[in-house]
Amino acid sequence: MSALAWLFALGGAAVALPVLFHLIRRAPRNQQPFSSLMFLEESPPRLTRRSRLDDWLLLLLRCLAIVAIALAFTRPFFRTDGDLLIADEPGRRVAVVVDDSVSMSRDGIAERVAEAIDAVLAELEGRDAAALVTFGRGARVAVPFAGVDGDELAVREAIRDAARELAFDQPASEIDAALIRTVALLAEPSDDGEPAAASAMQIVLISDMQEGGSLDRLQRLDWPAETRLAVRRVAPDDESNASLRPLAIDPADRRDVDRVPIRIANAEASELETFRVQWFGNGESLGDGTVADVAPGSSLVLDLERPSGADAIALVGDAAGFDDVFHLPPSDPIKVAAAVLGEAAADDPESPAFYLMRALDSGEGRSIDWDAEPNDDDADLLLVTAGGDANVAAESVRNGGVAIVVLDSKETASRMQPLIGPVESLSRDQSRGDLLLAELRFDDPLLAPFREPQFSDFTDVRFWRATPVSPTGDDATVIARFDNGWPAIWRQSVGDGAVFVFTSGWQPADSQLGLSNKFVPLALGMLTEALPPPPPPTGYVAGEAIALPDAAISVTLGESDTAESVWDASDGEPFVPRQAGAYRAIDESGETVTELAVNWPAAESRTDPVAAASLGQYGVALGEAAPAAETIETRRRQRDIELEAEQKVWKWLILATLGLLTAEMLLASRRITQQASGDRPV
Amino acid sequence: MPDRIDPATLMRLGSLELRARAVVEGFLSGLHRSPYHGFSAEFSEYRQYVPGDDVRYLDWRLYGRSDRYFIKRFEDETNLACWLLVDLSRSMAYTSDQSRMTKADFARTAAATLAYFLTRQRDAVGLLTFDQQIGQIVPARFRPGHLHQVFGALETAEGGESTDVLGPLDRVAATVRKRGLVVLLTDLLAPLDGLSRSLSYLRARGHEVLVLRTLDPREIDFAFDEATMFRDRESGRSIFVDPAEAAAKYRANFEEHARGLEQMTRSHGIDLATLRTDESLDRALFELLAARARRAAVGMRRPSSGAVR
Repeated sequence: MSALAWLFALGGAAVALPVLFHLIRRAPRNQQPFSSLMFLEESPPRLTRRSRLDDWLLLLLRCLAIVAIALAFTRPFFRTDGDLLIADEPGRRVAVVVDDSVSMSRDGIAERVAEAIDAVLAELEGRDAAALVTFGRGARVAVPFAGVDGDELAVREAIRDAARELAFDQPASEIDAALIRTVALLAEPSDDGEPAAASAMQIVLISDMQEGGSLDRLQRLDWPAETRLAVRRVAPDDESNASLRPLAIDPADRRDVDRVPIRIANAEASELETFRVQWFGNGESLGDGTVADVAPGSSLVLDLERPSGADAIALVGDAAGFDDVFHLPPSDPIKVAAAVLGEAAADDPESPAFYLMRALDSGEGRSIDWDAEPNDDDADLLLVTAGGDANVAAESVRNGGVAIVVLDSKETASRMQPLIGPVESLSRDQSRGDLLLAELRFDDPLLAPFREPQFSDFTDVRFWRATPVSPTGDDATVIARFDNGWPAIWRQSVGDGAVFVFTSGWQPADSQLGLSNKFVPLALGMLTEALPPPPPPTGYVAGEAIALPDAAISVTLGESDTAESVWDASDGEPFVPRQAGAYRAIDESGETVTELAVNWPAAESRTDPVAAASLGQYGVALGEAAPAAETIETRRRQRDIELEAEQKVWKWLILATLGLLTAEMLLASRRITQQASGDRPV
Repeated sequence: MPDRIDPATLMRLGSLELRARAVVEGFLSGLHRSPYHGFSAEFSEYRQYVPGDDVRYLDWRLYGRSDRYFIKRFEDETNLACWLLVDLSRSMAYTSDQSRMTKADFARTAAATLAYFLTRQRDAVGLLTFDQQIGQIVPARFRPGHLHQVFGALETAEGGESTDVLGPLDRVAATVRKRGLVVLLTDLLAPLDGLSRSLSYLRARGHEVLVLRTLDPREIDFAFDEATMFRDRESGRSIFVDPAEAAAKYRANFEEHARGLEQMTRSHGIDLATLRTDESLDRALFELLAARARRAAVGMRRPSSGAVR
């Protein structure tokens, strides 16, 4: 029965028409021929004065036909079973999803989050189930659905409590992850294994809907048809927000290491334009700072000189302070302890050390000290030539260093076996006077820089002299061979370190390698393996795991005197900084191993709100799920439509109409025939 | 009373000629003193012969006596050329009483009566029947057997559908050059537009015109009782009419139309008489003679042309 059914039923009022027609005697049976009607005017029809109706049967048939067709249009049906009751309805499942990211820590948002949650909980009906999901970097179910028989009131109280405890310190706003997790949560069966029964699924997203929130993964989500997402944006008291951040330029590419390009971005919604950029070192401000005028919605790059001792730069005068301080990684160069073991003079052009030292000089963020104690087992880089103590070198390498071994004879090779592993001698059947590198393994990290075709040509490097030995140990990997099959370079893993063995020297007496353009990249590659991974140029990002040196046993945050430990190696977990700040990794003796500058992700600073409708582009069904009463009404209507479609009573009514009209026609024609014969003049 | 023959009784006479004769004989017996009595072909005067005259009319006897040619002039061979224009349209087939003549029958009989009467007076009689178009045409002549031809035409003429009275009038005006009497027998239940022009045209050609308006008594008084569908006999259109409501209006309309007709005919010097089908037929004759008498009284010159044209 459609909404128009009652209008069609009004059509039944047309039953008055045949009654009226029966009362009106509009067309008298007799006709009076007349010569001309030019002087006559038509008289209006009149109701007969007689109140009784003639032709009762005809009238009845006509009325019934009209009633039947009006009924047919109302599409009636018979209810076969009982009515739907609210008590039969399982209620909605409502998941409250709250943004816990640091951008939510702006003034006024926390109160509004609490208000929004109260409003959502207040709208819930008795049978609705609720859950709380918080998200920042990833999503977390804070309060799960209690199940069919759970105490919903307790659940709601738990949601209120959990929301009150939100710290708003998550380093990202992964709205996509939160929605994917919540959709899965809504579909999860209850504790007793029953499939989730709900009249409707509702997600209420409470977030500042910042531009920096990630939505991309929603593309992979097949949004369930019955789930609706309602977005409750919570706005801060002041939408103004500016942030600053050094441009991500590798220090190696920078002309002047002391100058740092700083990019200041102002949100479109900002009402502030003038800020001051201030350097800080150990919590103290350095210098007077620089005034920067940035119009809302635009950004400005300042090339600022980094004062010595500065470890942070801050934006003063911004409304939202969470992203106003940027911690800079320490600018001190990495110290590399290097030493030469064996007979190699640093100033002799016939010595391999002469070329290596010149290839690996200080600068570019490192300082190489070639004067390290050769016997120090903590040396990072060792050049070992004939006469060097293999055992001492092996000890250093085992602690994470890198040793470069140059073999000048089979004897040296056999003596170096503690360092380079077991070797075997090869027959000396050199057919030609010189050797070329033939088999190069470009998948090895050392040769990887030469993988491209324009760099992979080693044919202009000739070797005159080579030691025909081959490694036999399992830890050795030959990464280059001569054209006669002899190993030229191999890598030997020793402990945490690596040994690179050259069967031919690079000094002109042995080969052209030292003078070729391949030598410096090769030497830098070996040095890189000796160094710890450099910190990112713009520091670490909160929420991302940081690989710490092995010596680090704990990490503290803050100044030395008030530092609190945020990580302990005994936990067995990788260190993930939860928030921005200057961290310090400490070894057993309490000495600082490394300083870690951690900042909020850049995306978190993009606080301009996005429209909730943009979620619709990812197939998310926005809207409010109807309460149970509405759902029941909708279902009832659907069931009525189905019943009507099954029963098709209207067809029978149309059939009845046709039958009635046929009977009426037969009767009327008989009447006419009778009247005609009765009226015929005798 | 032989001069007041009941039309219903007259209708029982099957032959139109008998009917006409019955009317005329009865009429004449009471009209001995008719001012038109005694028309005949009588000698009028002599006129000197001029080349071109018909030699048949030379008075040879006078030539023998006087050796001069003289044409013997007579009174007109036929005094009057009378055209009877009879409307036989469907509206004329109406009668309110089945026992009474239809208007068409009445008009036919009246036309036959006039023809018979005029022929007895040695006048030429022509006939033209019409409905929406012209039906039978019998030229105006006076000769033995002509009257039978007129009667035959009247008897065989069939009723058409609608009425177009202007066509016949224009036709007569255009074709009949000799001035004469035009008697129009119709009900004139049509708008008067155009009629005035055609009648004035006829009058301008010198014809006398007598309109004998033939009407059923119900058409005049509209004395119907029952509200019923009235069907126009010509157009077939039907409307519901309650005489109780419509009669007064009908009469007012009818009288206004009649007044307009009368005014129009009077202004053209045309005689108009209304013949009711429940009245005696000899009224037609009376009206004819009265009209001619009026013409004579106002000094209208009778046509007296020469014997030969």
